[in-house]
Amino acid sequence: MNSDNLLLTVAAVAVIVSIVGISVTYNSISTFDNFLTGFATEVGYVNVSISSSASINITSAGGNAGSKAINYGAGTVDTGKDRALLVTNNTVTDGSWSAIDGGFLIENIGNVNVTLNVSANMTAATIFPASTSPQFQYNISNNEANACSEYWAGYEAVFKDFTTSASDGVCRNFSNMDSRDELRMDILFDIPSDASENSEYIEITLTYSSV
Amino acid sequence: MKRGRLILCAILFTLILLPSISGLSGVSPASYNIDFEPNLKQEFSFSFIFDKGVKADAYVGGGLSEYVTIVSDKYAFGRKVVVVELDLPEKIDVPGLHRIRVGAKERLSDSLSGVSVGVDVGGIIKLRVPYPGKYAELGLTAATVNAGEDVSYQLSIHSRGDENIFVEPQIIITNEGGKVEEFSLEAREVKSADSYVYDRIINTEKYGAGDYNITAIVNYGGESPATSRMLFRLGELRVGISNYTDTVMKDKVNRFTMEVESFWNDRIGDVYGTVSIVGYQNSATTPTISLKPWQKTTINGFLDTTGIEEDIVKAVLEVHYENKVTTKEVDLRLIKETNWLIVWAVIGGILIVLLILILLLAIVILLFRRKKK
Repeated sequence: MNSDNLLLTVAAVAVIVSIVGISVTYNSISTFDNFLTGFATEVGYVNVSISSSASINITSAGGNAGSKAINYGAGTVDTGKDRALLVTNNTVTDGSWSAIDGGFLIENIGNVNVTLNVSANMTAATIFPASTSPQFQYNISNNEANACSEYWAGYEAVFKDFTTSASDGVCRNFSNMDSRDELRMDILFDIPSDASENSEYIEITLTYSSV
Repeated sequence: MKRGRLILCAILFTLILLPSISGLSGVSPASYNIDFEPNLKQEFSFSFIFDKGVKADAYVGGGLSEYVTIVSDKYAFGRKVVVVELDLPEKIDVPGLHRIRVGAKERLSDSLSGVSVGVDVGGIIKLRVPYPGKYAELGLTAATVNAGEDVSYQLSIHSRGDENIFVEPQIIITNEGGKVEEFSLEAREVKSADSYVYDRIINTEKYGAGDYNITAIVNYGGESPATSRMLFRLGELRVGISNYTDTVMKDKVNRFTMEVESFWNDRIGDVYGTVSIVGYQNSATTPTISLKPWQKTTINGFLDTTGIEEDIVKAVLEVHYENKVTTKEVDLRLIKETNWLIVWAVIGGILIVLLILILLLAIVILLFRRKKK
């Protein structure tokens, strides 16, 4: 009987201690103070700095996304014609080559505006030696309105001869804003009928840096 | 289960085989800005990025490149890191901004054919050599706010000469009606190759809404003062109607478009438009939209023109917003829709009649000839 009373008392004490403990814990958690919770405060700082980045992406060539090469393959000037004209705007005149619709799409994906120059490792005269007035040209235009806000005079959407040095500027201010950051570069070949059999690999270089 | 794993493997394999972004290139930082100091020796690091597997050759070019040498050129974590050392002389004769190019030219793959495009990306060291004597360059920015709110503006003055300058800035605010306000900022000295920024506000309580120019004229002791101009706008809670559909078809449900423009520097919610024909019950209401600050956009409704006989009618366009209404009365032209079925039927009928006439004529001629014989 005594042991029963002792057990009952211990149980009652345990219940009371539990209730007090629960109430203290609840109060401490609800007020988030330092009492019996181990909660402590420290002030933290987050510092974020963004470096400038000049970056472009050639997103498409000849209408093929992810490509950076245009290949007309083999062809001939039509019999009886003086010359054939190939332009990457789906134009093939007086030649047996297949038309290519879409030049190079160039996107500014950096966080600064850039200047853009164009050159190639060959000119029309070296691709089609000893032939009558061949032409190898490029034409840079805005694929998104105002992508280039400042062209060098006479370069906007005009076919110009390729040169082997990048000294010729094309776009002085190629925007990086999402809605206007894409240029298109079309390529033109004017192939005379007296051009000799040839298969050249031509490298075009886009030279750019921050404004 | 096995089939599911196979499909998953196939998808992963396909993703691995997909070409990466094939023409990616870049450099970070894009540029460094430094001022000339005699005998300055400093290293600059540029991190170039190209597509996986692409190699590039580093070089130094541009004016003053003779004072730059490549001290390190290596690939690390998929990037080409080029470190150059700038070793400046005691004096450079040509003042102004010089751009030294630290470039990396892509080596195109031998497997490519036809016409391929590669890049030559350049990081720039912008070196400013002070002008002889006194020289100042200005930068000016001003915020666009709503009318009555303070406009914050920043006038930065850069002393680009080899002598210190004493500046006395004058600020002039103008709008299309002329000069609105003019005031001076405190004069101060700006040391050679140093800069100072005046960060101030303009109280616009007395200004109306509209476009304003802020012009800074800074006397610094040079031959002529340096000037800079910037446009800022003060918004008003107004939505304008800048364009609308002016021609619709008769007796048809037409899409009616209104171009609306916000002149407020905060978002405007619950904007909708209505069009109603004067003297008729015909009207249309557009869906409700929100306009961002200064946003110009189009809203569309559907206008039924059934029962309207006139070719030109008066229409009232309204834009509702924030318990306000902008109203515009316009002329609306109504045209009849061409019924091409009837047009082609008439043309076909005429052709058939002509053919019959020709046939009859031929028969008459034949009969006439036979009688003669």
